Amino acid sequence: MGSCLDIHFWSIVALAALVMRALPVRRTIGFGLWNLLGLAVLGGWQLTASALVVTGIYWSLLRWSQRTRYAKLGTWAAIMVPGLIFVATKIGTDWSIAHSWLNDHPQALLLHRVFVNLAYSYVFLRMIEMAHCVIWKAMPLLDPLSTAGYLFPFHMIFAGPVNLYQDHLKMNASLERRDPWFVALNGADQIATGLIYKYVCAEYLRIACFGVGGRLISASWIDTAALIVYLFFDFAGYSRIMLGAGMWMGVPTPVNFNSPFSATTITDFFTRWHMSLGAFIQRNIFMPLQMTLVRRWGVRRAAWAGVAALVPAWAFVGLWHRFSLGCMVYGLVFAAVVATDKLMRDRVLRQSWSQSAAAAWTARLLGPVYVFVVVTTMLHIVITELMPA
Amino acid sequence: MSINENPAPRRLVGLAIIVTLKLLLFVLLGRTETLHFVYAGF
Repeated sequence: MGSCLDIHFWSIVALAALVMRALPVRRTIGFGLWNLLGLAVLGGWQLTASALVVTGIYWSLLRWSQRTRYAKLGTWAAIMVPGLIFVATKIGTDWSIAHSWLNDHPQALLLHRVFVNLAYSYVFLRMIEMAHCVIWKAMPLLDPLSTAGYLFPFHMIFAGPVNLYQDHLKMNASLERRDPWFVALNGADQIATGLIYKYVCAEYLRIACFGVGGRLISASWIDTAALIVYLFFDFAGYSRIMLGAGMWMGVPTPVNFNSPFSATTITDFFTRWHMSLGAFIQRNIFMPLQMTLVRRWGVRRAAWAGVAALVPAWAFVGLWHRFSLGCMVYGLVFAAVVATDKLMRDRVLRQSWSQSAAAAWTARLLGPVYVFVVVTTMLHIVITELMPA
Repeated sequence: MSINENPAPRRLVGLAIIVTLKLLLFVLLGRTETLHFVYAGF
């Protein structure tokens, strides 16, 4: 399921764009059905069957959480079961000691491969998003087929983005007002831009910095700086291609990048880089935690509640990327950097001189340089762990 | 402009030209023989 240029992938997307609107069923069910075809053609029947089994189990847990008698147990299970599977999958992938254990236990190795092939890290985020919406926000629970379409969308299964459950529910609203030519051209524009990002900008940068067929390894800060620009074009290109595919099919697919290198603060950078993950963290970890702390500590300490909520949010970001102590510490250091950046900015903004046009221009010009240096330096510290030589 | 609004035909033609130029640039310059995803495995 790797290539953005796979003819089978584009055939399924194009057919979905033509057929799905004509299906005499609700749009979420139509996509649920079409998605199974996409998964089967691109990933094989084993992958499709595993996606269906995982969906069936998870849907049952959510249904269970809605029954008054077992609500607490169902809620607990709907969070803990996906969480434990996520931890086990990450340990199996990221810990060398787990590799040798898995090699000695073929059945466990098979199970681990199933979850890795399903890109479970992203599926896990969608499960938490769905649980948050269904259990705490009382949104309707989709039928199992539509749930499979939400959890395992074939165009987003490989590397996200993390789609919103709320948006997926809205798929059933009427789309008749949209001009089909405009939708087709808008989608094509996103796809064409993504192809240029990924196969022109990213590839030429990679060849210029790391050589033809060279490995993406960093020996110096400059290498890491080149790598972060390369990562942007590669990942933003992929995200735009999938956004265009989603537009064609009428499946809500979030925007994942918004000119991150023009950000003037670290917080601003992360509202522009891998936006769907940042928004997920904000909706499901940061905001609920900050609200809880404000209720406990009082409104006067709201700023400190925000700083405290950053700690678990960033620890999760670190662990989600790689389940290791190093990456968790990396996340915690980033929490400290973001908190310092925010507190300093708030203090500076209170000064009268900061409101002048000259100060605004200076921030506009030097802000992106400061952000790039900080983000690159942070990545450089953990680059050998994230991308081993 | 929101995607829900119907655009003027002139805008559609403009968008079509931009898309064609971008695709042409991709076809002429795109390096597709060394494809890979660095995010594989997430």
